[in-house]
Amino acid sequence: MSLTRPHTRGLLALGAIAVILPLLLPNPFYVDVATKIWLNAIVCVGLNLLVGYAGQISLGHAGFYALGAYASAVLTGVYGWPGLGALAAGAAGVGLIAFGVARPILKLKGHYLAMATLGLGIIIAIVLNREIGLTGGPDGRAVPPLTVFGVRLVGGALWYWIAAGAMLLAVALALNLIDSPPGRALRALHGSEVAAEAIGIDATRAKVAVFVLSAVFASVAGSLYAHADRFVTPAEAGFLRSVEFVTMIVLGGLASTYGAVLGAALLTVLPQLLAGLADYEHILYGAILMGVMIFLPHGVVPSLAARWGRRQT
Amino acid sequence: MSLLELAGLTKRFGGVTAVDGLDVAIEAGRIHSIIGPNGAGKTTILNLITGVERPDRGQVLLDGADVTGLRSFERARRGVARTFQNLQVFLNMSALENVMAGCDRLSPVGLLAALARLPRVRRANRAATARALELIDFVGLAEWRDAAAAELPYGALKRLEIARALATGPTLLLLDEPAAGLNARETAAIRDLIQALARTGITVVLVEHDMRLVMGVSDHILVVDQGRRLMVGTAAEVRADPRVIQAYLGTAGAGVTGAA
Repeated sequence: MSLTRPHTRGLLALGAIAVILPLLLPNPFYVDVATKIWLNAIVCVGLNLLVGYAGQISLGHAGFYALGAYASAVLTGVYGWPGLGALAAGAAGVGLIAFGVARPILKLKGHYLAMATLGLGIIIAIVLNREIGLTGGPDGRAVPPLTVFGVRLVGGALWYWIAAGAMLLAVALALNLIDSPPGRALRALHGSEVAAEAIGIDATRAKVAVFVLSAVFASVAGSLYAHADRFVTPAEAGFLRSVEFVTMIVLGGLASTYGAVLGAALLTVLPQLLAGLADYEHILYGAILMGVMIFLPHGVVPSLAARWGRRQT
Repeated sequence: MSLLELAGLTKRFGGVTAVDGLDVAIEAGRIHSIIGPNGAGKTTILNLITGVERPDRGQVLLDGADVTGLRSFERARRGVARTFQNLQVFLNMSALENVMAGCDRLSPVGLLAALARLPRVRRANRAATARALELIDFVGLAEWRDAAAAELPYGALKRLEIARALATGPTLLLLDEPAAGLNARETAAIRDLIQALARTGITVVLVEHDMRLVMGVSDHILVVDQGRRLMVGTAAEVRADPRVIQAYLGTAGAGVTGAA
């Protein structure tokens, strides 16, 4: 019974990796890449609750990520809000937007749901591009440093730890949820919506709740990203970014929280590793993705776990 | 007052009238069967009772309360549970988790409490695990409890659906062809199971084609034909009724009654 086992061991292992990783990184550039891994992982862990566990698709989560980033950028930069207040207001605003669109959108299934969430992401990207007065338009805008209780949080190393801590918190929350009655309800409606309703699960409500939750995860990650990078552009809301998030969780393994983290790590690092190959970068990138999905069709973590399990028995 | 009452229930699919002005009252604490030829509207009746389908006319009353406007999950929370003719097991979960998902109705937990893993979440998990284990034993699946549901054989999945339905603590349990696809030995085991759970006070409504099973366990049998009520009676009455023999049992009836 893997689900009832306390998940402290997995969290400790992940925490140990987060602590050891910076010791192995040769220079600050790689520390920044590692920070991006953890921030992407937060989005992926939340998105995986929606896609991997509840079985709904979203091709618009970069929109929520960017909204969080811009909420922090604009509220601190233009209106002088305290950073944590801006982060919370962004998360609350994104949660409200997600709640507002969730009911009509989540009535749709499969390709239609994909199209609707895709449209939502595109609308957000357009707004960020056009509201030049506030957002700076396509050029993006600078973000003030995050200040907490009068302390300015700046520097790559510090942000590595902030991102790692937030990622561990996100993983802990997700693991908690999955091993609980509402978590089982999400997996049940993935398995069979009609049977989930037949055992008393309000499928609509459960879907709306997980959609809002995953959007809030993305928004918080976006806010942290804005302060870590000190610059935001509308590209963060783009369709490619949304697809990238979905690719990360599929690659790592749907319905696996650690898979979502691993997928985020692989797809954040891979372009950096391949950058030296110039023209061949994209070919190799695509080939690696195809190779993984052919040989580990359920994603890296579930496929390897299944093989390991077989060898044990 | 009847536990379940269908009043003038009508459901059309395009030009086909699947259920046509059906009036039925089902008393608590018995095993009731619904039989009829293929396409008589039996599964549609179950779908109307559980709220999977909405009727075009008529009402569904539970304990005298009109539940026609309630959604499927709301009726489940009022004690209506069911299994499915075409299995609807959660294949992405273990056998135990399938049943736990049913148990969760009895100790609801909010999303925020679950995220924070408050003590009541742990209590709910423990309660659901204990109850699910009992039910898995009750339906005879003890050897499969830790297996992924997708690994279970067909007959075990049928029992798993029954355990999951029981987990919700129903007063009314609707079984849609629980013996379909089972061999004689498995069918006998399902019969024993149905009788055992009826003894616990749950009212059972059975839709089934296996006449030996139906005739053996049913206190009352509703015969439907083309969405209409043909008759209601005991097994002996149904067997003796010429309308039933004509409309449903026909030539095959001789062999079935002989076997029973």
